Amino acid sequence: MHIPDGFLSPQTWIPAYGLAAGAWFWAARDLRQRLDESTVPRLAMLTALAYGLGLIMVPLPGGSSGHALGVALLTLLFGLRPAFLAYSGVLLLQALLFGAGGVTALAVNALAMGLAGGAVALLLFRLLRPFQESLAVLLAAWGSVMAGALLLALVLGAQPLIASRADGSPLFFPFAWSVTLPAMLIPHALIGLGEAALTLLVWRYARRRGWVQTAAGSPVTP
Amino acid sequence: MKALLPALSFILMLGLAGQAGAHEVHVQVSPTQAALIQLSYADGQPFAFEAYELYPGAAELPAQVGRTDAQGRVVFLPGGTADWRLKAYAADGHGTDQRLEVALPEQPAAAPEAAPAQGLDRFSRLLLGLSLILGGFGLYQFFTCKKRKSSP
Repeated sequence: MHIPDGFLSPQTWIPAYGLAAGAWFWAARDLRQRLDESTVPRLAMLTALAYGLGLIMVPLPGGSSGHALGVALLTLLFGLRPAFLAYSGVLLLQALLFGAGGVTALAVNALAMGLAGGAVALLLFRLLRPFQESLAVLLAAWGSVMAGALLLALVLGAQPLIASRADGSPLFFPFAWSVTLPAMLIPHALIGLGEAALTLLVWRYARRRGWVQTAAGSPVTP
Repeated sequence: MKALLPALSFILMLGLAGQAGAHEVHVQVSPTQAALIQLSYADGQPFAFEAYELYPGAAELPAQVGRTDAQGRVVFLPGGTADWRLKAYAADGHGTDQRLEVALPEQPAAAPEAAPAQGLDRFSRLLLGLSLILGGFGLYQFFTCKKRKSSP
């Protein structure tokens, strides 16, 4: 799902960096109050898991491939702000070490997958937890993948409208929404199922170990 | 007049034959040396049947556009140009945009410019990333604990 360098116009990624800078500042505020000596090692371990998950490519029908994210898991266990910061770090490392996602596209990737994906996960979890907690975790994880995929498909599909040559041919990513939306959403609906199963597995383990912050199983506040 | 009609018909047929010839596409196959670019996903799957654009040097217009073949390959004739830029796109956002140095005859091959962390293999890069994450959080823990202990 990571957008590489060269796919986005400067008109897209420069404002995105401005927006992301504000979001990173917001996320870093009061971080010390949100994390204590017991949560930091767990956050480190699950961030490492998210980093590893992002590098395991699963072949998908149609010849493409995809990977899990781990954003929902980080968000449900540690809250939106620490999860967004941690996942932004994961994206930076994946870009620098593996070329998975670009440095110019880092802000867009982080906002779509880390912030929007995490926010959707938290929202769905809070809405559905009163009915059935496991179902809430499953749908939160699936929803986080779909939200990230939807936003990235919208950003990619907007590129031909944003930047094109005099003859109308696109300067950057060439496909329109009619192509990017199904191409992103259909495979990620499948990836989301795997992500949901994995998130539920780790969530249950975390509950058994008492890692979930309150007795009711609610995540920390954003 | 009777003799003129077949002659005119013959001339007309010749003319039509000439018109038809103008719509023919001639195909000529000749063996030559070409440059081969192989594109694949991280798990080794070929980046097959995806769109690409190939730009010579700093040109703004591509010299070649098309789709990769079933093996994820792009074949082209570099001519005298060593510096190329390849943009390859899948509709789901996968792809690459990088500069390539193509070995011209009598010139040693050079490595792609933009490949990340080239000195390390994939496993070492994975370990490096994990160590940076765990080390980073360890440092955070170390300094925040120190501050907490030193604060009254």
